[in-house]
Amino acid sequence: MNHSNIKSHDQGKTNGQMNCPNCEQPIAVTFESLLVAGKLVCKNDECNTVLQLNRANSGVAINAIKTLKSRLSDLGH
Amino acid sequence: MADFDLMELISAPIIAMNEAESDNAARFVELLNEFAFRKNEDTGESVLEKLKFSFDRVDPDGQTRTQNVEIPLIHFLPIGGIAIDQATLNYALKLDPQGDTDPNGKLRLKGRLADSSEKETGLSGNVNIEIKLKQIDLPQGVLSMLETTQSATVQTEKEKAPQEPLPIIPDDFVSAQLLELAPRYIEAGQDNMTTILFEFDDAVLTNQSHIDFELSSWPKSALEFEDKNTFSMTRRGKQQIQFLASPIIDEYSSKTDIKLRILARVRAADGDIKEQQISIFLPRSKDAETPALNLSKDK
Repeated sequence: MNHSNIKSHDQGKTNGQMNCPNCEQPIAVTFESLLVAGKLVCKNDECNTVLQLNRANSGVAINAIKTLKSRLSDLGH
Repeated sequence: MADFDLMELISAPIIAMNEAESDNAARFVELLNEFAFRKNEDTGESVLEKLKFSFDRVDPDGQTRTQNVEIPLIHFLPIGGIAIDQATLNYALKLDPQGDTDPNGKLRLKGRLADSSEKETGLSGNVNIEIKLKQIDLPQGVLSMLETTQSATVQTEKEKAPQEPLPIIPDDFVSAQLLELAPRYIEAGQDNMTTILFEFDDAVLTNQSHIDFELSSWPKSALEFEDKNTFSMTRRGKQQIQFLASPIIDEYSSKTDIKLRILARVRAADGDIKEQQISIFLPRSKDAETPALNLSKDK
């Protein structure tokens, strides 16, 4: 499969974005923050909410991210 | 070199670019289907794949509550559309002045690729195609889906077991029964180990509390505890205590009472530590009266 639709992203750079469920500020998401740290941290100084990834209940999604990360790596991103 | 229909010569690259963009769009959908959704094995329907998180939120009343949040995986996927932003095609053509007519009688021009340097020495490299790609905004449908799935972000408060009210600790927060004393009197000597078996009951022990016990004797050096002189209990139960009577007790007056003291401590809800002391008088000879099985409580 040609993955030309996958945006070019260097390792460690933002892979996605979500809004903090506490303060609604955008949280930049990297694959490392999900796969390695297992948590996301809101950078809003007045919030600093830590979202702890529930690995046990997110297994399929985590595997999908691993696959995508691997393909990005193969593509040289 | 064959002649080309001029219209085909111009339209072919445009058609090719359109097909390329179409393929690109199809792959975009394939990626979405592969990563953003999963098939429900029971119903066959596509459902949003989600990542599940938990976080602590402090309520205005100062209480911290743990909340669960589910976020669609699509929000974390670095996929987006790319499209041809600009394409420049440079041809050098040599037109056939005769042309041709199609079945409708319309003139169709024919030409052949020509070297732009006007030297008909070769035809290679005389079509220059320059394509610039751009990252397009996500299609409206995908944007709508992102917006829709934003509301699919589920946030729930974690069910918490009702907080067990912290116990009010009475002054007599522990009681005990003497089950066994062997031998029935204490005697100094390394071979004269005394064993006492107690059964402790309590009024305050919960899953969040425990009672610490510390053993000592009166007079202070009368007894030597075999193992350690502390233990803890988190629920009512039996506890065996072993000790030796120090040789020094032989020097005590026969009227000197020797006591085993058990100091019980428990931490109250307000952080204060409550103490209760229990003691038992130990008989010093086999001729002594049957030892009192009731424990005295010294506040």
